[in-house]
Order: sequence, then C-alpha cells, then structure tokens
Amino acid sequence: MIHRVGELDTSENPEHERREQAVQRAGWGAMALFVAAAVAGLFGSGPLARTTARVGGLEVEYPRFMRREAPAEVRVHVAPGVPAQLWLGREVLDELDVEAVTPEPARVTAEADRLLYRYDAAPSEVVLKLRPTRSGRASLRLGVVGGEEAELSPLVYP
Amino acid sequence: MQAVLHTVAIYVVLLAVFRLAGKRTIAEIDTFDMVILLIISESTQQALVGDDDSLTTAFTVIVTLVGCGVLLAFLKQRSPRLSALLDGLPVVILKDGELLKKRMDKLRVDEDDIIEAAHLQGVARMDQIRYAILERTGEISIIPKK
Repeated sequence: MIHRVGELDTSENPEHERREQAVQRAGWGAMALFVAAAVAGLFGSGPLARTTARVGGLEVEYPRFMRREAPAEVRVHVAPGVPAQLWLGREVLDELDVEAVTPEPARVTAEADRLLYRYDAAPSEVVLKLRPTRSGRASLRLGVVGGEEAELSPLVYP
Repeated sequence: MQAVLHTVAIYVVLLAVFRLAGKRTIAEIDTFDMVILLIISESTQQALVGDDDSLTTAFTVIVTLVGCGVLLAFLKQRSPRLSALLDGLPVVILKDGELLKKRMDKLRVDEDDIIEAAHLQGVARMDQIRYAILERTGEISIIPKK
C-alpha cells in the first residue's frame, strides 16, 4: 500500500517493521540454539552423541541419535571367553542397511528371526556400519549366541 | 558437531580467499567466474555433507552458514576495524576531474570501468565527473560536476 509520507510516496510501515525485527531476533535465538544443540551432539557427532548399553559381558556403544541416509557406527565389545557368534535381530533390515561389519565374519547365515555372524576366532570388538532408511524410533536387537541380548532404540532424524 | 565445524571452516576459508582476491572480482563476475563459482560450490558440498544425505545435516549446514553471516554482520556493526578488515574501505580513484592513476593500477581499475559506471549513472563524459569512488562492494560510484 503506497501512501505519502512528507513528500515521499512509499509503502513504509513502522509497525510492520517493528514486528518483523522482533520475529527476526527470536529467529536468531532459535538458530543459535539449533547450532548449540548440533555442537553438543544432538544431531550428529559431539559430546552427547554416543551412549553405551551394557548387558552382562556385552557392551554396545552406539549413537543416541541417528539420521536417515547417514552413516551410523555401532561398536560391540565382547568379553573374552564368549563364543564367537554375533547376531542381529532380523527386523533391523526394515529400518537400517548394514553396510559393513568389521572384522568380516567367516560366515553369515539367516535364521528365522535373526542374522548370524559367525567368526573363527572371537574378535574383542565388532564394528557395524549402519545406515538408517527410515526416520523415527529404530529398534535394534543384537547379542552373542548363548549370551546376553541388548535392545537399542536410537532416535532417527529425517 | 562435525557438520558445524566443517561449515565454519569452509566459511572462514571462503571469506579469506575472496577477500584476498580483491574488490574488482566481485563487480566483474563474467561467465567464467560463474563456472568457477559452480565448481567451488560443488567441491564444498562434498566437504560439508560427504555421504550424509539426511535433512538434519542439511539444516545444520544451512543454519550454521546463515548464522555465521548474521554474527559477522553484528560484529562488524560494533567494530569499524573488523568491518574494514573484512569489507575493506572505499577508495577515491578520480578527484576533481583528475584520474588517480597509481591507485587505479593497484586496484586493477581502468578508465573504461569508470566511464562505464558513469554511463550507468547517467553521466555522458569523463570531464563531467567530479569524483569517482571504488566502493567496498566493488562498484564504482560517480559524483558529477555541478
């Protein structure tokens, strides 16, 4: 709406300007909080990013928050003397891609409700490289055959 | 955290490189510069997100980049020295109808650039110009004689 201010035709509106500035300032605050959360590790790496689940001789270190279509690393520490067979709940395939398992197992077999990774010699640590394919709450069951079972439920951001 | 750190690093490097490249480059964007810009954006994109295709990381990168801009603008407003350091200062290149050749050579500006700026601002001849100033943005402003 063009109106005349003094000798000038303009659509200036101080009230609109004041509101716009207020919204902008609030927006800057929100942006600062978002970046602070990202630095803290709420959306990726950072001090709050990873957590550990311990069940018996099984220790699983994994990201609290994952992102859809972004690599996520799960580290499984196996106590010495535990048989060298790691399994992953089959439903994992609906929500995550297993891109790599290091060290590579000697054999992978599919059972009714789980995937079995068999090793010749028990590794002390197995690293799973995962990539979530869905956002929301993921559920990841894993364990060692004849041993404990851990159930992880990391939050997957879009 | 990694996405934020990478973004800030890229921001700082780009800022430094473009500042070192000098004023004239901004005003003189031609087709080849456009190609260079595309290559720069392509190569930084890889460094910023890598094989992470998530929306979350894209948002983080965007908010961090825009945030860097807002923060710098805020700091520059408070500190004239920082403003001079990052944006430079205007330089008079024609005074009282006389070309300041030495300054022009250093800034890689020639007479053609001045007359072009004059034409764009509705001034027809060199002898009608009182002042020509290379502004911080890399544009030349013309003050005509009365």
